[in-house]
Amino acid sequence: MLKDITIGQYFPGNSLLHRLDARFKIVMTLLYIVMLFMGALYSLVFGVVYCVMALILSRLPVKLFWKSLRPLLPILLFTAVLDLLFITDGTVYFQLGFFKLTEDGVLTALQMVLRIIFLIIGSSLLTYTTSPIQLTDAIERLLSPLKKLKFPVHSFAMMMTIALRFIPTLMEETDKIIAAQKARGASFDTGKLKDKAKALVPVLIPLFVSAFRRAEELATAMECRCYRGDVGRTKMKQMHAAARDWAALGVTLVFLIGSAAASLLL
Amino acid sequence: MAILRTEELTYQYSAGTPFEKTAVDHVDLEIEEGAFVGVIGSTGSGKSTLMQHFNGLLRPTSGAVYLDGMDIWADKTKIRDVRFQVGLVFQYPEYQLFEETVYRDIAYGPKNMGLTESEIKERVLETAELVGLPEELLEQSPFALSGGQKRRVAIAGVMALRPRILILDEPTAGLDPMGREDILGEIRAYHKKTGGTVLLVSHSMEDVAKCAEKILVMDHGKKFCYEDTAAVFRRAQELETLGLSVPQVTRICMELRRRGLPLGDDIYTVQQAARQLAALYQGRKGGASIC
Amino acid sequence: MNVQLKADHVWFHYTDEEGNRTSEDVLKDVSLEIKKGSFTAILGHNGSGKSTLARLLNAILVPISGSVWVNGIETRDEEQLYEIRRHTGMVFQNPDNQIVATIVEEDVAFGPENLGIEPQEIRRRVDEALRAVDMYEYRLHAPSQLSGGQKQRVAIAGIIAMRPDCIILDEPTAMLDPRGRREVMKTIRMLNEEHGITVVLITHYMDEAVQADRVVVMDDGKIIMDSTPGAVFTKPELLQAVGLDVPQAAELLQSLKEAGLPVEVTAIDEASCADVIMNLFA
Repeated sequence: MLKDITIGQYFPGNSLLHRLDARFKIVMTLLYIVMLFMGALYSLVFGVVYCVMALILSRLPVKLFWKSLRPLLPILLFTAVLDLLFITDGTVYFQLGFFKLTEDGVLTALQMVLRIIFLIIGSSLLTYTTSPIQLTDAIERLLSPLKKLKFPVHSFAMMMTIALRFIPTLMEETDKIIAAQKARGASFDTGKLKDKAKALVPVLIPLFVSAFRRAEELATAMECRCYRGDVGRTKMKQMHAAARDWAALGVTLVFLIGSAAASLLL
Repeated sequence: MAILRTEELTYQYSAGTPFEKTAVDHVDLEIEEGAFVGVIGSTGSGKSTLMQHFNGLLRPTSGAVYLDGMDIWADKTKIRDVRFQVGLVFQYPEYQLFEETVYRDIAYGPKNMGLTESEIKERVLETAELVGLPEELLEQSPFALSGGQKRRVAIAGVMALRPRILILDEPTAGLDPMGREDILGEIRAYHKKTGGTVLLVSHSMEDVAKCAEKILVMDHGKKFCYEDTAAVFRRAQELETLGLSVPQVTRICMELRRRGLPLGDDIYTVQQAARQLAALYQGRKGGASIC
Repeated sequence: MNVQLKADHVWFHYTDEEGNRTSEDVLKDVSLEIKKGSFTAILGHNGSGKSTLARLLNAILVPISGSVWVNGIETRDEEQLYEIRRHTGMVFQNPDNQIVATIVEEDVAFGPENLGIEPQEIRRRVDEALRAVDMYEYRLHAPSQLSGGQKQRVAIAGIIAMRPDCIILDEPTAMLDPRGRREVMKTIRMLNEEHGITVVLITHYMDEAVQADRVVVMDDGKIIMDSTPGAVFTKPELLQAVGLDVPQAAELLQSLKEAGLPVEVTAIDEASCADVIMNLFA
């Protein structure tokens, strides 16, 4: 069911990773992505080791990450097969008709698959260990220089918070509407593509109607709680960069430099 | 013969994971054709999950559901037919309305059954009348109606399937007393007119007391009891320990019995209590002033 | 000043953006005074005008004619809207559509944050409010993990944390199961009894209205009864005529009276109803 999706969820905890400043975590995640996509297979080792370290520090069960990877397996498989089929340079390992399995093909496929897997694990680590509010707060603060350019940073962050807040609610609602229409004989998995698209109308319309009603009620409720945008607004949770945040960033930079050096030298 | 029967019906959420939870636990049940059954239980008692098994929206983890003696999951491809025979009205059903007109929304189910235009029309008109929707509303948008009317349209949309069993999950939730009475009255009228089997799921013992001939009480996924209404209310004290609130009049009569009045122990409506008390008074005081 | 809320000859109908009338009169010359520290229930069926009245009392709407005063401030004064709302909290029917944040404690902090309160003070208020509604141990949960009754208590905590003098609750239990309703009603009584907050409870459940000090019954945009629960609910014919429930205790006595037994409808709870009946047989 829809509510089994774990991507973007937060799992409260008290590990070192949970306690790090969200702003630093976002920056470190970005650096980590650079690390993964920079250079050759050898430099990937740095990213992988870095990620595994973080995973251990998060004290989250590995099963969670498996759950967020599983839906992407077909895409991974597809990428790997494409690489194996179409990259035909390098030493040939094996040939059958026009299909050639080559060293470059295998290496590229391996690289791509590893990159995607670790990209997902790494970004899941960010969302699993950081509450969505902290995340949007951090984005708001990281983007705050843009306020000078009249970019509505606060509204943007509030929109993200509300979207995150209502995703589970709307998913549950979708499940309910689907069940209700099925009870009236709707079928969603038979017929041609056109029929399938048509079958979604009885689900989408009630969902939109409900989303608009919710939006309206939420807006009234927010006004009643004295919301006036970011005018005169404070935050319960302050963000203070602690020594551990700087230390973590330092470690990240060391890995980044290591990985850069590896891709240049090897 | 029982129209619906379950055998060791068990349903687990997220079976095989650490989040596993048994929502329905080895339920054996036989529902007689044409009965009006009340289904009560507190939130999490498994009553709504059980109902979704009756029309094949959920598939049992183990055990089986038999409709007319046939296992509904014997042929997976026929499950849609089961849904037409066992109509299920969800809680807050007005949130599933989607068509441009009331008529077309009620017609959605019959259309899925593959009926002809004239058959569909006949059913729409018939069910609209059953739930008290005036004909001039049929061409209006369902979104323009009042809350109570929207709910009627949604209920009519399931009644139009002409199911042999009609299940309603909390059909009066969120309505005011008048709206509640109206909807219950319409459901009773439907039962009387069609003679079909009706299952009314409710938190409200008062509502159930007013309509049902038999009551199924669910507790923690298990069948607590399934008996005649009077027999169930005789166990009022047990019901209260399950977190269910029995009607105030039942509690008053329990108190009066405790104080020594010889009242029956199966009173659950004000009319019953008034009748017994009046008779008792008449007996004691000679009945001179009673009309 | 002893008056928390005051409606003075209020008339209201809905209008579209151009100011054209889009409804019949929803409120017809309603006047009402609510004292500080009181617990008032406004009872009526759907469409009686009770929810509109609630929205006027919190300046979500302003009257077409007549006036509404909150703590001595007239709601028509848009400059004062913020001042009115920091003193008058509002809880709505659908618990889902008033929770903004993804974590319980962050949501409770939302109001105080809007008021610009110091971070440490917010923390203190949030913890205190969550303890008051008995949701402290859920402070790190996501709203979607909570039951309806729990969500509604979080919404109430979000209001308490703003330290208002008054809370208006618009059918806060209509979407809850019996357990949720009991939890929320217990919380509402606690607000009034222990924190001295003025409570206005809009409801169509008579068993909730019974718990208030004062019951105002509305029908067709007018106030038709305004008294103590004991006085209101012992008039079954009047209430049933406007589509409202009566406690079964009163209904039973009424039936006995109609059957010619020498009783008066004087009880709304079980014990006193049993007393009245036992007197008959004494």
